[in-house]
Amino acid sequence: MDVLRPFRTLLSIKHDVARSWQAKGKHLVGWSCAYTPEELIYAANSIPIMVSGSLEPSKHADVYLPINTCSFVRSCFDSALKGDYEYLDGLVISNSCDNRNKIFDLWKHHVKIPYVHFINTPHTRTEGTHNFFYDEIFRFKTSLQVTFGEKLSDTTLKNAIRIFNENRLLLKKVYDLRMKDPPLISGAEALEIVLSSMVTSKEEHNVLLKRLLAGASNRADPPKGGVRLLVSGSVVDNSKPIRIIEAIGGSVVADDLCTGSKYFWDLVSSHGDPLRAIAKRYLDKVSSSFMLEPGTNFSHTIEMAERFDVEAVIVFALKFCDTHMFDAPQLVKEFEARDLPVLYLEWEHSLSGSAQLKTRIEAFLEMVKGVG
Amino acid sequence: MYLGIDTGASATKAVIVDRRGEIASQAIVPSGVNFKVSSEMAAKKALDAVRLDLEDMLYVVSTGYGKALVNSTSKSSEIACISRGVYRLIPSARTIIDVGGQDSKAIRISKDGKVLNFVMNDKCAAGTGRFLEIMSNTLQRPIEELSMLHFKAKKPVKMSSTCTVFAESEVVSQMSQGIKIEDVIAGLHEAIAERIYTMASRIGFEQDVAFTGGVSKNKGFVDALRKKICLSPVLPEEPQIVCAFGAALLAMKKHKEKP
Repeated sequence: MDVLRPFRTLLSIKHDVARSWQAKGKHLVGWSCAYTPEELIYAANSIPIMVSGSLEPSKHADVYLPINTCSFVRSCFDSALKGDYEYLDGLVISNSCDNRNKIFDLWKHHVKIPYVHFINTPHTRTEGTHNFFYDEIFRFKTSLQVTFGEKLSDTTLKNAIRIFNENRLLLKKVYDLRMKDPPLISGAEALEIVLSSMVTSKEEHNVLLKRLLAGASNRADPPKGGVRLLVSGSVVDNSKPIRIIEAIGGSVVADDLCTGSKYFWDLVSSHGDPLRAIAKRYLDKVSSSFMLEPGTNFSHTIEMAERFDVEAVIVFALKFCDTHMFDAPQLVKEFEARDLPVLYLEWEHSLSGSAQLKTRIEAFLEMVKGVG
Repeated sequence: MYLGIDTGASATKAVIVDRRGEIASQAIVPSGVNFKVSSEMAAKKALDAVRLDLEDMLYVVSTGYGKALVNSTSKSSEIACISRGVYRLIPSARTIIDVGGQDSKAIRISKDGKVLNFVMNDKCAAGTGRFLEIMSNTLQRPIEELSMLHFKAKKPVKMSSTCTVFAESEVVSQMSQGIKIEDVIAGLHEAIAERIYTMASRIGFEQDVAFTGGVSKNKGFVDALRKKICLSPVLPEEPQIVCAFGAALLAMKKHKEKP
């Protein structure tokens, strides 16, 4: 049995998967930013669904958006306008980056959605912002209870924390399969595994992860390996760019993506008040580039590079992901100070111009290998 | 003998080298819309010149946009091929500026010819040969004349945009205002030189600086870029075939390394 197939399948039929949970009586709540406390949604008898885009060039969204809009959120909005997410019972918005904020303003206006909740996420970490964020989480809890008529008790919250933490620990074990050379799973597969956790119940995902961990070492067709790479960036919600890298001799063994290691690296404390623990985890987690603490979010990236023993780094600068693009030059210096070759790659979410991307990646890999 | 084929966005180049790595023959044909056909044509032309067949080639390396469609022993990136070609022709070069039909690149190489770093233009025609092709069309002057007219300019115009589409309408409006064609052309050369200078500044310049690629055959452009970077460039005899030449050298190396 192919222990990896279920993850790909989940992604390819993600909207059907979501609907099937709805048919079983679950509420479906969309989210976009990794700072959304999904445990609360889960505790409200709901499935949190990551809203993502597609590789198709956006059509409908262009009518409403300026040209310099982040190509990821543009694609998400395009999917929403096409009706891909019409099944959602609710949507949680968080003020992470400006593009995302504004997109959801438009979303509320143009796409009918029964319930929309906004979480105000601080961009700094102080005692004051921690208290404020706890209040925001509390407000979210109340809002979910009122909207869905579900009771979020300490017990249901603690249960959600247990399931989500288990998922995080299992994903870490899956990532550790890439410490070997060649790795036991490819970078594209690893990304698909993480992404698939965002489109279904974590409990079901945990079952699949355990099966994968039991069977990964006797795979019939393990990855061939190649130049060990870390991919650094913000959002990569499709494995295609990683597949492109791995088809021409790269082997992506680590990342610092919001849709990768940053999504699951930190656990929620299982001690004390569950709501406080959730608030603390999300504000203190490995930070995204929208946080106003330049440099502090690099330590995780460097840790990933060292832990997975990478030879080089590809910085995926998503077109018009401004917070990340502002951070990138400093990050590049951090790598160079550690003698790690870096390729800075600007890319569009739809992967247009992939021939040029390929030329750059090929030349970079040749440079790292010192051949050519 | 070894064959290198560089299927570029605008022209396809083929170079055959002998076993000492000396150029035995070379050919340049337009790429058109079918890379497979143009690469076969270029190869045939180069082979015919030395009266050889493809079967006589011990190893073939293809590079450039259409490399995947070319029947070759192996494929390599343009960056690696250009660097190898320049290292052989101009061993003192540490920086390479290559301007082709659709791409412009800046490459830093070590004293033993290894690629240290590189940058490429974004998917945009500004700062490439396509920009000049379109402008030559707009001005209704063949591309070969741009160079000659450049040196007649007394007051080159300042282009406010290097976007190919906007620059084209700017050129039209300048011409209609009676600005001399040579001043417009020199302004265009300065605009693309500026663009390439900005891109290359990200990795910096170290002497010697070599210019390659088809656009480096345009002396007007070379003049504009030389002034912009304040360094005297070194130019190979035929800048357009350097990448194909590098591919042929790589073919030779790969054949010798073969177990």
